[in-house]
Amino acid sequence: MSDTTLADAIQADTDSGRRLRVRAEIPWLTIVAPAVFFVAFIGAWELLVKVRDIHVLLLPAPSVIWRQFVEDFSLLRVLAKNTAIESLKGVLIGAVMAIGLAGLVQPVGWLNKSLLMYSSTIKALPIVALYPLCTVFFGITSAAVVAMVAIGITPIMYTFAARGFSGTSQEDDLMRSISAGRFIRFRFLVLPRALPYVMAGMKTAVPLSIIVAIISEYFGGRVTTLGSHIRRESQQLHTPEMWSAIVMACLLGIVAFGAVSLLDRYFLRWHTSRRDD
Amino acid sequence: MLGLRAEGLGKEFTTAGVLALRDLNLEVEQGGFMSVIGPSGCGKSTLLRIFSDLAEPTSGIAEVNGKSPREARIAREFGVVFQSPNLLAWRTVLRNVMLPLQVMGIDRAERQQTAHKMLDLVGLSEFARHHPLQLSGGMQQRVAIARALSMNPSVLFMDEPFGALDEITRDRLNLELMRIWSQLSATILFITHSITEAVLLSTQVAVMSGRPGHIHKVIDIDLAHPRTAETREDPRFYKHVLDVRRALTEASHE
Ligand SMILES: Nc1ncnc2c1ncn2[C@@H]1O[C@H](COP(=O)(O)OP(=O)(O)OP(=O)(O)O)[C@@H](O)[C@H]1O
Ligand SMILES: [Mg+2]
Repeated sequence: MSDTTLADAIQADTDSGRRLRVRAEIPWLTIVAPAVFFVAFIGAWELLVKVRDIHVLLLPAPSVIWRQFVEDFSLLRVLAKNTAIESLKGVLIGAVMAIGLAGLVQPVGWLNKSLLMYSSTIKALPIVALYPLCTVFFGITSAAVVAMVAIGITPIMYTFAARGFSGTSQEDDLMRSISAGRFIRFRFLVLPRALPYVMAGMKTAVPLSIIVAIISEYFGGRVTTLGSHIRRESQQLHTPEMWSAIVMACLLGIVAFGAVSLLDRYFLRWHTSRRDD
Repeated sequence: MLGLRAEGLGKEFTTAGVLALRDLNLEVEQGGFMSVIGPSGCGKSTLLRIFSDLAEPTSGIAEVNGKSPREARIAREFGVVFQSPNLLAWRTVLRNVMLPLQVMGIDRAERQQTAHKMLDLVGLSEFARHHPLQLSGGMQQRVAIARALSMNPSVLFMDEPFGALDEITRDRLNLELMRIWSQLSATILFITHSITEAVLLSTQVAVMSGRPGHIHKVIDIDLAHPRTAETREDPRFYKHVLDVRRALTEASHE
């Protein structure tokens, strides 16, 4: 083979690599179909309330809820912000604890196994029932809500992180062959290898954190939060106000999930599941 | 000083109760290219793992450049190319090639320069910013070679590096490896299942036989360098191929 044909051959190999990057199709179905469904659902709701003349305190029409939402928006924004901050703090504390613990415990097989068993069990328990205990320690404060979220998040993040850290692979041989020390191995291999698992955990943990935060606030949290607002309005039979707060809670959940998904996309842009084929 | 030396090398996997190697003796000149060929399970990978300090022998001596494998590894005198590319998926191609240099604590400008040079050598400069999963298998294996070479090792261990590739890609990478070897004058220990590949590349072919693994025969390949595609048309090429085939048959029935 002469030099030119060798170069041609390399070029051919190179081109075949380039072809791997095919543009992903725009998923019309996953956007248009749910949108149509949503509009139909809201329309049916509106129609039902109008036709059957359902009382506003029982079930307000979407248009009424929307008007209320617009009217309350500046208040709801503040409440949502406070709730978001509480959940975010709780998630961060829970995630750091879980990841740190999983990283520390990972080399000790039996300890890792027993902690995994505990966290799987705890995950299945209705941990919100612990909230009264949190208020015993922290009083009816923001800190109690944060603690509750952290407690709820830790076992979930632990199971995901532990799975991420447990992988041994041929890359470990590579790290040894270039005489990488423990710390470098952890930073360059173990941590990034666990990242897909951590992100998968976050996708579950972040929406859950908002649920836990709102429920905890509902049972007694700082006044200026979504949960306690919902409780107050429901107790006073302010049904449209309650619904507009629920709309805000849903929006908060969607925004939070969207943010995690974006982070996931950014951090895992190299990942197998992102390969455009 | 020899590039590689094994004397009375033995390896037993005690828990599995497998005697993988027994009394294995081997010598490779510095700058030599030795291929190791042998039936599946005869201990080729085990031998390479002992030389590259990924496994401990249970008896005998292994030396790399006159040092123990461990000393040679810490002095970063060898690079390893594994059967699968083993690239870190979250790093770009360039940063994969820079990894050993980064571990060595070489400063950023220098390691970038070296990594670019290595990517040039394997013909992948324009893919520096890609992620491994955007490359074909052959390209990934070339990145793995560039990475192994980035430390400028005097010894290169390769365990069936092209085993998973198609015949054409394999031929091409063989010629590329020849070109790289002639530029770097490194000692290479190359494991393969392909007789023609072994003959085309090597200065010596070691035929192993198994249960327990040892060297059955070492065959010198006196074909001229540089080896090219035309080397395959040399009548001596076929003679060597037949020699190796015969030795391999003997080794398999031993
Ligand atoms: N970690 C291990 N534990 C137990 N036995 C092992 C281990 N590694 C290898 N062996 C055994 O040692 C023998 C040699 O294995 P090795 O992988 O070196 O063979 P090989 O020549 O590389 O085979 P192949 O050509 O299929 O790659 C085999 O019988 C194998 O089962
Ligand atoms: Mg093998």
